[in-house]
Amino acid sequence: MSKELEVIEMIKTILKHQAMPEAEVAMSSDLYDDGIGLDSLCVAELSAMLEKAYGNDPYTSKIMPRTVSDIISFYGDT
Amino acid sequence: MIAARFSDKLERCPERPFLLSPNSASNYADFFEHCRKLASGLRNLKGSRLACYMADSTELVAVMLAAGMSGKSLLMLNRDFAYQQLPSLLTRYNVDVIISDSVPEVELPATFLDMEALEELAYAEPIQEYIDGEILILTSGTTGDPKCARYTWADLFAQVNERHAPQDERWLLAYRLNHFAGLQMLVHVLENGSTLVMSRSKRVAQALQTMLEFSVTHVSSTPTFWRYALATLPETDHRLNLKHITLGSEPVSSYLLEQLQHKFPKARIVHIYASTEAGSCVSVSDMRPGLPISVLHRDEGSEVQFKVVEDELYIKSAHGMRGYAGANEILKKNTEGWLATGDLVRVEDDRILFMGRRSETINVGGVKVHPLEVENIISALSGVKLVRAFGQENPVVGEIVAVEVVANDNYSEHDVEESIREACLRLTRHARPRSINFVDTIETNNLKLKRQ
Repeated sequence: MSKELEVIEMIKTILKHQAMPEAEVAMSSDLYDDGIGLDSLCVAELSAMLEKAYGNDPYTSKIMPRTVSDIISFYGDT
Repeated sequence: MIAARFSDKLERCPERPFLLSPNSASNYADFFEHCRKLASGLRNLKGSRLACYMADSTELVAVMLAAGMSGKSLLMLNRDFAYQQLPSLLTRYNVDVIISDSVPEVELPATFLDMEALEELAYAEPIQEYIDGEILILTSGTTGDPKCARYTWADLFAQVNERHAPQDERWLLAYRLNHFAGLQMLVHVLENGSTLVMSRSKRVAQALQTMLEFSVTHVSSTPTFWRYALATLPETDHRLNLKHITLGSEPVSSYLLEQLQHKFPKARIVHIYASTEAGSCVSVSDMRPGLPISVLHRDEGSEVQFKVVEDELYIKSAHGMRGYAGANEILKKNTEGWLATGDLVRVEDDRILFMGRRSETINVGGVKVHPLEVENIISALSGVKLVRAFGQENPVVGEIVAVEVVANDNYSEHDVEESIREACLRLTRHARPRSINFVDTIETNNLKLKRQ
């Protein structure tokens, strides 16, 4: 599975954990209020999942990605 | 004090086993004689304070009791301490002589006595006059550096209700002797004339084997010990014929009480609240978790009083330790003698329920979460053998709730994770685990879960 699909799958899993309605998640989707709707607890979980899967994550590096694409770019740059 | 307890047993049951282990057996009469000889030797040592750095063994019990009869003060060192930790501890507590079952690989600021030298001491003339010594117990240090609690043996015996134990009453020594709970176990056995059974190691599987081998009838240990034991014992194994189970050192859940009652239907099950500083405080036998709210209404003159201030349990105890031994160790008691226990509680109907240690509280985005509330839900799931909840650092909300889980055989991790997620939906969103990891085993410290 590509990293793009893996990250999208993680976000869908988090939404499921929160019993939130299934949402369309695309590379350009806004992660927060105006898009998928991840709140701070969801983002905390995403940070932990990314860190576990890839050894680091943008949030720990004090980077605030806005979209799925931003997350992928973070790993592309590192 | 110790000699008086032995004398009583010498009249009633001199041949009864006092200590049993896979490689030794001693009755009350023989062991007392050995301790008297050793006490005579210890009394002749220069200096007033001894330390022992020994694994749990009959020899260690002999040193402890002999020191207690010789009038010497004895510091109980954890045998798991690294050699490098010893010099500063010996200096801090003004130790004159250290007794060990191994030769420390560091220079020590005290006279060193190995087991061979100890054996030679044991052949001295038996002691005739007894002086009650002190025993110094290091706290577990869960909330910082360990401190050293000071007791006389008389203080310890005063916390035990004397009764005549039947001939076949055998207690497992599940705790380590350098901990308050292990020391209480030794004192309890000696006071009542029962038998103490020592396992080769403190590993739960080994302890269970020893319990079977020596027909142990009574066990005092932690809820964590029993969770491991129940996970280890096959459902169909009914060989252990326990008459009594005491749970202590950690809060107990109703699920565990039910499991134990189901597994050991003939056993009386009690849970106790005690601390190294305050001593033994209360014993509860109604098969419900927590403490009855009636303990909050005890009279001023009661031996132990309880109160709840800002969700924390406070104790005022007439017994307990004399004080700390270290010069800079201060007990956080208020002027009226109330001790903050660090245990967070909530009062619900007629019960005081434990939520966990203040120091173990997880701060999730400013919301306090107690690991116990998470563990209690997860541990009741059929696919879960063991669980540990703890705070994991997180850049977004400070900490998230993380859990480590040992899954039961024949359950897929995926299914167990799904059931954990579903069960935890009843928790507030902040308290739900954000990280679930499956592990082969979970680390413990003195039979308690390590959450930090």
